[in-house]
Amino acid sequence: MDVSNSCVTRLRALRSNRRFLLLAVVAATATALFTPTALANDQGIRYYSGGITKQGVRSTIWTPNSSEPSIGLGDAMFSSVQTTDNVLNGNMMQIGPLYQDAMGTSFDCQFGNNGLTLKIVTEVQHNGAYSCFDNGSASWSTGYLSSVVEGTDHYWRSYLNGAFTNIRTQWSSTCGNDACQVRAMGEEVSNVYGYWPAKFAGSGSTQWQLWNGSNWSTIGTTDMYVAYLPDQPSSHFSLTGTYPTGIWSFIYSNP
Amino acid sequence: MKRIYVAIVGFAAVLTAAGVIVVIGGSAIASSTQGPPPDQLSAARGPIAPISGSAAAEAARIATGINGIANPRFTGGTNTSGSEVAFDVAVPSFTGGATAEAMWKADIYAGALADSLAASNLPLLTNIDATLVRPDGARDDIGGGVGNVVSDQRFEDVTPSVIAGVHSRVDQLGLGSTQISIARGLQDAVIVVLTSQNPNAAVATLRSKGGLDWIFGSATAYEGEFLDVRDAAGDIVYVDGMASRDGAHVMWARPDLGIQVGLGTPPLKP
Repeated sequence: MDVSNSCVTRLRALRSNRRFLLLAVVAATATALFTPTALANDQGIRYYSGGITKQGVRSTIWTPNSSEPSIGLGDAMFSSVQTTDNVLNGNMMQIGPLYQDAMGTSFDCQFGNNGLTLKIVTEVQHNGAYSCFDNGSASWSTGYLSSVVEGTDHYWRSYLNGAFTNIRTQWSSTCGNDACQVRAMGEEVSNVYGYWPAKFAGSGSTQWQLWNGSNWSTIGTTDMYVAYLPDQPSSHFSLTGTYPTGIWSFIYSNP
Repeated sequence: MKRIYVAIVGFAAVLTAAGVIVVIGGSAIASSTQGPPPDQLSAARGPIAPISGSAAAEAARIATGINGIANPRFTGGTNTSGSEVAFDVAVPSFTGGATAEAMWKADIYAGALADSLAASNLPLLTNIDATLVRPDGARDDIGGGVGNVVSDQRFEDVTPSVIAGVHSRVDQLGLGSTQISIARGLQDAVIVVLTSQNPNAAVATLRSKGGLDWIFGSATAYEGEFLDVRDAAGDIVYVDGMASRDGAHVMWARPDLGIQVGLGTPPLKP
């Protein structure tokens, strides 16, 4: 037996295995990071992931003028504030207005085949499973103070205009019971024809704010990011308005 | 051909809980200080019998109708007013599919108890505390909720012909073997478990047909409707469950199916 050749072979095999392992890790990471993106709906997202304790997020969310939106068959448009522990862990809570042309039950926030509806919904994700609750019918051209807040009992609750929606969830994960990120976002489900402005904040209403367990404070630009999914220029969302003082909007426009 | 909806300029029609069409001016901008009106998902409304015994007895009675729900108890709510009920839900694991199934059972339970308490003029049920319990005793507190729906929804009764119809519709597709069972909140909820050699194709076919709407005629016809697609090994691949009395809808899909069942939560860095 040629020991040196055997060693070289084993060394090559080891290197090959290491390369394979490295490639596998890179592939697994890429899959974990990007597969959901490939599956995801069209989104415009403002998010904060800085070091301040994240125990809540809120903003006034405006439903558009009734003449503004257009929507394709079976599609849905959503504006929300959201807290998430870490998406790969599959825990999240968000609340906001949902405009949809309900057809069938292709996603969790459809509540029957009842045509065009404008609702407030709370969506919860726990262990990767989604549960969506109907918070009632919404009106056009109306500002809704939408909040998701972690209580001292570590339950996350959604609130509408300061009132508890009777929906709560809990997690213990990457950031303990707290959120790793807070978000404000616009979303379109089917990536088809449509127009939807997801409007936030504005003069005299509640700006996009973070609850650190003691105080609400408007989220500054440090560690605050804007993202689009899919990435620009493919995303049909764009961002307009003055942050944080004006009404700022993620606008879905797919003519 | 794409159908395109464009809302009427200046006005919108909103269906209220009482079924009245209210026309709202679309040009005015107003910040709402009140909650929105509750929705009605059922086709009809009707009286619900008030509780004859205690609330605790009613909570225990409803639990007996839903396999896996156990140990219901009223607890002192924190941070909010109203009643708080805690209960356990037996699960084989904490995976997404098992969690989704448990969420649906919890929603059926919460909706039934909430409406029963409301019909009896007892404190409204505002806090739900469902805890998943694995066979090894491990626990996972998932909370829960009650949607903003009217408290006297009346759903269709689940008759033998309804079950036969569901069987017929699903079986004709030849996707696998179908088992149907019943859970009961205040009315019957239907559980369909489809075991398939090719579950991904089965899910795609059922979704293309219209999912629960197609299987049951309407996703909101019954108090609860549940579809569970499993592979040949019995592992859950896809879950779609409506709990209309609770105003809730649960979904989960195994990631390799490549379908989005929730509003998106993509990972973002940092």
